[in-house]
Amino acid sequence: MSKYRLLALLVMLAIVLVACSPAASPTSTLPQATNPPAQTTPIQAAPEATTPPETAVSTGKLPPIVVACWSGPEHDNLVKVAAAYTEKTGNQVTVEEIARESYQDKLNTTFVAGGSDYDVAYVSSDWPPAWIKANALQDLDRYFNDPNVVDKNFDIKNYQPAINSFVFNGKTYAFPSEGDTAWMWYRKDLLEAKGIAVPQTWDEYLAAAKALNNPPQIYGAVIGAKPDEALWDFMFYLYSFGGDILDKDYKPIINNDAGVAALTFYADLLQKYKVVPPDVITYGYNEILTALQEGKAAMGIEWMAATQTLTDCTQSPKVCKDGQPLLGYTFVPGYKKADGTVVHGTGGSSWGWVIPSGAKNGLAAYKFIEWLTGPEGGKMWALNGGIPSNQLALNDPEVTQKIPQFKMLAEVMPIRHLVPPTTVTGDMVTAIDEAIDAAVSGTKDPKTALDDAARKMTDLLTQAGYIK
Amino acid sequence: MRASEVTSSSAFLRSTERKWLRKFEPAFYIAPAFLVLILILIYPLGYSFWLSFHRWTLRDFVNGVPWVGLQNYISLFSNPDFLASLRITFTFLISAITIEFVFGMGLALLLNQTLKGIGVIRSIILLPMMCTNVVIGLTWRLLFNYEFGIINFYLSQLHLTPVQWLSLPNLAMVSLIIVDVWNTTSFVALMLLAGLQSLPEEPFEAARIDGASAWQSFRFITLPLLRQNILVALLWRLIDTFRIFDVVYLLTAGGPARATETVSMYVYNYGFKSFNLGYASAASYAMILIMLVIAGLLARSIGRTYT
Repeated sequence: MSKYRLLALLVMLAIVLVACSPAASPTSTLPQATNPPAQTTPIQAAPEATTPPETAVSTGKLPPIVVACWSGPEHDNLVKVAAAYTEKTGNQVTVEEIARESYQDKLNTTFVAGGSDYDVAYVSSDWPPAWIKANALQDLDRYFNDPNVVDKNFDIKNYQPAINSFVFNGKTYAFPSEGDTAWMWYRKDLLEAKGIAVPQTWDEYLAAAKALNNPPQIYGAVIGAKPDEALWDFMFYLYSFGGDILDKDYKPIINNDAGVAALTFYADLLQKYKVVPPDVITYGYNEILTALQEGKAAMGIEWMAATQTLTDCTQSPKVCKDGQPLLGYTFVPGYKKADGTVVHGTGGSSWGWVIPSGAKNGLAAYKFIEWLTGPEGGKMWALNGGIPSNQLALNDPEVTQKIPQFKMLAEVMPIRHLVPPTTVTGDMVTAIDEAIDAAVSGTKDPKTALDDAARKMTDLLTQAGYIK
Repeated sequence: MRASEVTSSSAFLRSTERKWLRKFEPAFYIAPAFLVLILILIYPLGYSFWLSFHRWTLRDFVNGVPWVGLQNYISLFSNPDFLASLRITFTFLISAITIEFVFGMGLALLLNQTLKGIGVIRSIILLPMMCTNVVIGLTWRLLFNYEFGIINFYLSQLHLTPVQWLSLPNLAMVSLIIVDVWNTTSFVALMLLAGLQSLPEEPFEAARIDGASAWQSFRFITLPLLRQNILVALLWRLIDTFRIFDVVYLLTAGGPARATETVSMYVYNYGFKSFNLGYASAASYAMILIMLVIAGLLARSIGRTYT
């Protein structure tokens, strides 16, 4: 009996020892989370890298990868383009959709923990600095500088100027994909019926919103002041009023006269003029999109990523007539100053594809994003509603013919501002979001709200060493 | 002789082996479970306690995690936002639990009747408790939607003004309370029902003979006898409500204007948005400490009830 007991004990001990033993070393020699990002390590000896890349890609020999993307048009687009990549190469790509609200938090947690959940992720240009500091991203130089890996037609110049948003300390951390901005959307039929010209300035925009405001059937305009997305709507007002977030020395200037004027105008649309739905404090990208799609708002500022959805009569049938979209789009209005001059400026974002340090299949990830952002994938991305940053894709004759808004995008590029990328940008955005939220909900006046935000931002930038 | 020496030696070995087995065998059997417990419970708890005395931020943790002593705790209790989140949490907690106990008691008294189909009614009432919080949050967000929500639709059918359930600071808190009451009143009712069904008949019969009214029976017999169940349910609900997160996150994300930022939301924002893990850990331990004090006081009351 005791022999059996002893045997049982030994089996138990063996199980415990096996369970506690370290995991087998990964077969890939790709850098681990502990490697500093500045280190350039050419791919060596990994089985997946020894095959010439073109052969590997074309014969489907690369391991499957998982790509993280937030919900919305980019995800829908990615699913289509990734399927085309799989069909072409045989390499499997799984797209994981993550809710917009929790997307950045999810990536933060996964990347910092060195998690291997994702091989590729879609990120905004202001997110990488903190991850680079935490050694959580792989630089792409190690791939495109390796002749065994890089595509023979690859030329980094084709990504200019968008790729500059992803170069930190001389290293490239993402291939750009979306160089986005927003348009002012308006109901052509309603403006025509009232004999109102398409607004060119914010004064005209307000006058038109008042004229078209007929709640609860339709509101004159719409804004999106949801606590965690507010800046991504307000930024278009801020920059077009001549405001900015930081000056060149990293000092917060969001609370200067232009910033306060912009937030006052923005909050007054709800508080004073009541020309936007009363619950805009819960609106973000999706809710603005729905308000325009459902014909609940006559005008609004919405990202150009929504263009295909808003102009496609099968997706937005309520704002279509005789198969033609009733929604038109133009540049974000300018701000007419007291001296009569009109200030023009707009916001935007730059998005790209990164490979986290914890990625299991870095090479497969690289080959995917190289193709996705290259001339072929980029063209497909554009034709499905995306905004590629690769010049070859942007200037493709079929793309330029089918997507006229790219010409408009080229026009606003010189006046387009991006949220400044720092290691504390996430916290700064939260501080500004709180200010917008407080002003729009009427709990603080715009000046006080922005002063509070500026104070918090100064503390953050001082702690992070940007302000001496 | 030699053979007997061998026999006695092997007997001695067997006996030593048995003693050794008796002594360490249980440890081997519980070792896997214990290791798992250490890994998933004790280690994170200890690590977060350690973190609460250090500075850990996303931007500089690779350069080291310096010891800051009580700095995180001092910053926490001097931060008006944290104090506001405590006030919000207690407002929510007291309002929601009070309503849940009033409704829960009513439901428990109703369910305690011997009516036809009472079993079906009991099962239906328990349904909200079976839903996951994510489903509850998403569903109520749709119900509360100002433009397209079904609640405002029926209000407008009754010629009433639609309500901004989630976009006005005061109403957003009311909306959260409504959802919590809807979700957990049945739990309170269930706890109280269990107590009601275990009450002895004799005191009630005596009261009836003495001419006590229904209210007097309830006030002077039912409530004192239910004290123990009430305290247990209260303790459970206090702990659960104090750490509410998912429903708040899905319905309001702490807004508008931080009007519904409970302590859990506050910790989440610092922990997973700002990635200031030292500070967030200190806030978590402050939460635990506050809860321990409240739970301790309640547990003492429960103990006194037992004695």
